[in-house]
Amino acid sequence: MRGKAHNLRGHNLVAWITAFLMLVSLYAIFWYAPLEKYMLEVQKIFYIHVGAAWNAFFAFFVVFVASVLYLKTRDLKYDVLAAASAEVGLLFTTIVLLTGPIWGKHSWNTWWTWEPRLTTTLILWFIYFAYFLVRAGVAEKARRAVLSAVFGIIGFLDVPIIYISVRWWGSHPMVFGKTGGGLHPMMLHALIVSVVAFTFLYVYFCQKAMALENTRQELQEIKEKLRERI
Amino acid sequence: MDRLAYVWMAFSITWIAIFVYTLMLGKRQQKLAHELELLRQAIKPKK
Repeated sequence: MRGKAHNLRGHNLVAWITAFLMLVSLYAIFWYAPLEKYMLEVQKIFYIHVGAAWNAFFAFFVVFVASVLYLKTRDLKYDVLAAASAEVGLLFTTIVLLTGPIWGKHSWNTWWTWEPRLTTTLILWFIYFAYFLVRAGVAEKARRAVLSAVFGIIGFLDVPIIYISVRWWGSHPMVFGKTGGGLHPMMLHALIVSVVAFTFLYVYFCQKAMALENTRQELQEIKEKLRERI
Repeated sequence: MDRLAYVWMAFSITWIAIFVYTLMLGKRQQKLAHELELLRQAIKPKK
């Protein structure tokens, strides 16, 4: 019980830090960072779009690592971590896919184009959506964990493709790299704050989702034991 | 559409998505608390 109380205190601390960082990031985006010369206010979308995108990729990287660890050790805690991380990754990818077209409508005068990065990101969303269909479709715990681990590993292959897609075929705006326009230092500060805020949000959601899943599994086990006794 | 409308739309969607997910986690927690309570009632010794 003491361990669980400690965990809850940990969640609360992360929640407060996340809320504080979100407010700081809003300040940095709207007041600290200067207006971009051509896109003006619309460029502000970039900070949340990139913050969510980086953390979505990070979340799927965690799914990949946890899935490999599960297959190696068969320890269910890695399966719980992978599932929680995939859930938050899917949320962040949804944010990326919803905010991107808004920027696109202003910049390219279209809500959607089958440009490589957009298409591969949409594919990523479908891959992890299917990941949850797989999880929902298999009742047996160990079998579900193995299948989702394999799915989590294969699904992650799309992430480097998304990253490289701009260099290979790209028309998507690049911020960093050889053809990237670079950022004004104050814009870079705002971007860093936004990415850090989203990272804390990721940690908070992931912790919470994991704690809930662990509790659900414990409850399930208690119910099964009770049924056996009866 | 006005430039600010795009910004407003993007930030609203982001916050709504975060809020909805927070609500979903809250619902899950509520459901577990309810199940736990039912379990407590079931194993409580009858007087």
